[in-house]
Amino acid sequence: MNIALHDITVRKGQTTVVENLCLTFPQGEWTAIVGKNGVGKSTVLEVIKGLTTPVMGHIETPPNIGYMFQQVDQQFFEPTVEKELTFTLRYLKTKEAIVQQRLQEMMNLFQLEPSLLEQSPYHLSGGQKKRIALATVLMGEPDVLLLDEPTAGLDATQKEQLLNILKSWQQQGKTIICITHELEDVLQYADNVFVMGNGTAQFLPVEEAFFMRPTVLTDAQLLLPPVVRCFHDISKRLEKPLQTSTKPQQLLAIIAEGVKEYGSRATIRE
Amino acid sequence: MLSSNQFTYRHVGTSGVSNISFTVQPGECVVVIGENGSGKSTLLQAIAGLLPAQQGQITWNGEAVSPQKIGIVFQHPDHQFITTSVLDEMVFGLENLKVERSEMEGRVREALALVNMEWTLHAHPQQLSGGEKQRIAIAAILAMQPEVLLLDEVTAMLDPQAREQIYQIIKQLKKQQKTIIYTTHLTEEYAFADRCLLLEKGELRQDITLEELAMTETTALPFSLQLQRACGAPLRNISWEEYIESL
Repeated sequence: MNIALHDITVRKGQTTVVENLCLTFPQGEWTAIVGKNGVGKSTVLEVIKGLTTPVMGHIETPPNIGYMFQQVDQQFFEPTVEKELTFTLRYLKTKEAIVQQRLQEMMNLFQLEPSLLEQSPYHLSGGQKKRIALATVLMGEPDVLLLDEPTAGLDATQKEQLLNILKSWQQQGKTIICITHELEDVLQYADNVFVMGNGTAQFLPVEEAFFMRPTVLTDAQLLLPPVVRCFHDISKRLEKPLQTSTKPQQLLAIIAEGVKEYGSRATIRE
Repeated sequence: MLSSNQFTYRHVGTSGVSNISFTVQPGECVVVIGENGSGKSTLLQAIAGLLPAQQGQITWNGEAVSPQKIGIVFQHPDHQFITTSVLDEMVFGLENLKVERSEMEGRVREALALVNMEWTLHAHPQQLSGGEKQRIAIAAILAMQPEVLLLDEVTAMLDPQAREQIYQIIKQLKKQQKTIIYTTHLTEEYAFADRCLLLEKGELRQDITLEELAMTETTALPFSLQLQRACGAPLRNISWEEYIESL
């Protein structure tokens, strides 16, 4: 089912963080929440998860929602990775055979070495912690996954690996709602983008946001990635719309063709 | 000149760096790249004089490196703060260096002006945003007037707007011919560097210019170099705007 927020208002102390928010996150799609710090992005996730109660409005969600914290250390409390991964299923008195099967699936999906299972989650590297935190959430087979900046601090390889795992998981019909500052990742992986500004909010498909209406992003004081800025620059110089793509290498090839055309026109002008 | 000669430091277990040899000339800006766990932070801490050599040595102008000459800023500025006001934070390092009190005010004001944070002088460091904290952490090190500045993934936890402010500081320091060695995962940030040191599993695999890096098959490059390569153009470490204007 979709996640629907109806006229949600949230106050923290005297401050209204979110006001009269009406929004639907479609089932099976990846929606990125973007905006500057302090505009209420995390509050939206907290409302969906039920960690923050709105003062007004109501919300419809599926029952099984997974939440990966930004600071994954806040999520760990078991002495070993194995206990951390299996905690929820064992707490729910799931049959041990199923627990072991799910554990094996996660170890395959995240390419975890068996020796990792006996280590303390607190003693892992930043990238390993993120993978264990996500695997722990996925062990519970949630219908919806809420993620708060899951790739912050990861290197390029680890980031790509994590995002590809999320993409393959989404392709099983699951819903992802992900806060991020990395607009290049939004362009490549997300289906929709929810742009939050000070008192403004817009929900639109990714291609529309980046290529047709980039002012929605820039008005929220977000910096477009260089590849998108260059796309618009070349399109303007050539005075024609260019083909669009959310695939990085295809988009680069489209821009490169545009640049070559502009270069040859410049030579003729001379 | 900074010189690393067969430097080795292994942590307990397997991580660390081995047999690292390279030089950095005064005024050069060098980026150390590699995956998490490749030894980037270990190398920077060693250059800062924070880790003793198990083999080989690192020297600055022929002398063993020391924190008096070489300043390091970390990924998490909270690890660096120990006082309750920006002023105290800035003064603390200067007191340790036995800088005359008459000289302190000028140094503090100059460093805060460079990072555009003069207004925070009496603020509590913990009340500042992540980007502001990082700029104060840089200013506190700059006030100590190090001869080499090391930046260890200082933008990793910042949003793009806060990163942009750090970039302005780096550009300013480059204009001042400061010797800078930094680490990053963000390919756009490679562009500040004159040279890249590529680490793999604790060993130095390549010591090359950005243009030479772009001639390899890697896609981990600043967008401008990716674009120039896709266009079949001669590779130059310039912005994409400069490249298009040059056509």
